[in-house]
Amino acid sequence: MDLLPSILFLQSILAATWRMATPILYAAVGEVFSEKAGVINIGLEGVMLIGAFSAYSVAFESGSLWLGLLVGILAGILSGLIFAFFTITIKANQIVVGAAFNMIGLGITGFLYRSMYAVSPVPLGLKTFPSLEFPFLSSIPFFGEVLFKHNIMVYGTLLLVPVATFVLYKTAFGLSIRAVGEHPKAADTVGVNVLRMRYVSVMIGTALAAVGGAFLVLAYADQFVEGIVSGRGFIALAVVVFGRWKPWGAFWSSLLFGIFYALQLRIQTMPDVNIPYQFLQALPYLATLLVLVGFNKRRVQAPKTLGVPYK
Amino acid sequence: MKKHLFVISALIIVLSLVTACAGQPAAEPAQQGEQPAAAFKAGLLAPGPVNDGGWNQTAYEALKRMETELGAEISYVEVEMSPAAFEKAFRDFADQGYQFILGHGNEFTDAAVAVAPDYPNTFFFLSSSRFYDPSVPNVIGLNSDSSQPCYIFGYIAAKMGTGAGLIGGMEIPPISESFTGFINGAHAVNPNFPVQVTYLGNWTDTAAAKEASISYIDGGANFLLGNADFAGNGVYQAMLEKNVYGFGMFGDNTEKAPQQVLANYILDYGAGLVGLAAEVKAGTFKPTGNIEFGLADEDVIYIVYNENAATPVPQELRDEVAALYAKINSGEIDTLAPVK
Repeated sequence: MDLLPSILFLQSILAATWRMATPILYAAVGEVFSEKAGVINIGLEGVMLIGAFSAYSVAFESGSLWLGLLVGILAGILSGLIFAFFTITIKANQIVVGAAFNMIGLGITGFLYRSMYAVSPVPLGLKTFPSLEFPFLSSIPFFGEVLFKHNIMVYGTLLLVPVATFVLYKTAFGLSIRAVGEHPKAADTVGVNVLRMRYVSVMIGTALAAVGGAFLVLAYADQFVEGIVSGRGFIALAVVVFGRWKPWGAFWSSLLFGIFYALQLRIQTMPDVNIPYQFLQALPYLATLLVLVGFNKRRVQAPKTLGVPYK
Repeated sequence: MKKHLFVISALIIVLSLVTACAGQPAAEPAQQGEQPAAAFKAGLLAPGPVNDGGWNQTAYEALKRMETELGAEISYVEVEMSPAAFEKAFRDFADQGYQFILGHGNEFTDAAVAVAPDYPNTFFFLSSSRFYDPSVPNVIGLNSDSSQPCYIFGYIAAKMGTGAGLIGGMEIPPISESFTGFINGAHAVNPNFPVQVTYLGNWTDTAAAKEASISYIDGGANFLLGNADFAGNGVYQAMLEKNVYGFGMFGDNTEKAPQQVLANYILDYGAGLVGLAAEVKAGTFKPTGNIEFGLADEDVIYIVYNENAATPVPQELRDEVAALYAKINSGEIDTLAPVK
């Protein structure tokens, strides 16, 4: 009978894991596209904030979560267009533009939020995407709670990762993306429009980052607050590297991060454990790093022209 | 070079002393006389925008109330994070004869202490500070003791619940003290009542706050208390979705979980400030220490029950709580006693 609390503990952690991993995963898979094409966008945090705010305000005003999500994605694409213009057309330093995006994202969403919602006569909470109930499956002990009681955007990641893998590795479009990141000159000589490929990849990346941000307000927390992304954009950047620039790699890395984050929240509440909470908060980062260093025996290969403008 | 510096700084000190002494007699009759010409002036140093819907707005609105209720002449500055600017802002106000100046945050302490001796007729108040030093008696720290209402909440939770989870932003005194109060209150009912604390490490991560709340609920707790600024929204959301009880902090948060919030702790810091300003204006303010707002200041810190909760706090428990008020106010109960 002593086993039951441990099983419930494990169930609680695993059920939280996928939820916590989802926003990071969307952004990370997007960044895989961008980086595969040779453009590193460290502005994910800012783009996620822009996506979160656009999605929230449209969903709040219109009452439609799906419309909110759509506008969030459009805002992400627009951010990507601006980022691409500076980094690809003007060839500004990608790191600098990315850093600027993080600040712009925080500033503009904070400003708009304050001017639109700081003093509101009506409650600001949205009715978020509900948890789905599957007949039979949701009622399986343990697995039902862990796997079959999430909302639609969490399950979206199950579609996202295989589709992203397929596009990148089984289609001509994906081959072109990888080619312009590995050897843009060669791609150019066989008629691939390098600049256009990079524009598209960056915009796929920011669109997905915006979905990650929108998830936070449409399917997790129920309202926007300033800085709600809270560093997930930066974690997504690390997840891309940990996952060796592959969608499935990003999937497992973000789950790993999610599990350790869920674990540290619960360790804090254990009465007999007297570890300072600051250390526990570092645990997800440390553990993810250690596990992946352990697993990654082969040398990690970044796209060859990552961060280098073409021509 | 050093010598020059010494001479210059000595000159500055002497000059400021002279001006301070010269200022004194001029200001004295102004304070005593009740003529409209000698208007009461109240100033605010805000560390951020006064329309932020939060910390700074509270102080600004208090200032507006001083204008309407006390007929005060008011002014505020938003200062950037540089101690040199703080000092200058304090001096600007004091030079113009402001009697009430509020530095809205304990970061203003050093600047106030540096300036205050030059302006003995001005009171420099500091928000979220316990500063008091008899050698600079006109610098007064103001603190709101959240551990007192939280003691009541802990008491109610232990009477009505199976366990409580507390979610904080960061482990800083205003937060950890409120939790100490809660734990003391809960343990007064039942020393074995499970109460645990989680810190998020930030003030923005609503999702993590919600996740921490869910982990408490999974662990068998049915009472939640969040003290994490913006991120606290996630705690109310978890109450609503998982249908567990909780309390509202610093204002009326009933709308965030209408059936689940059993009571709200209202902090009307502005009322406290206006009260102080009235005393300063009347010349009756004679501080003997820092000022700690607590449940005894009924217009500043109070608890409002939610009558529309699924299970409102029962009347006999409210009677017990009323008796606790008296014990807390008399000091018989120390809400900040170290937790065993």
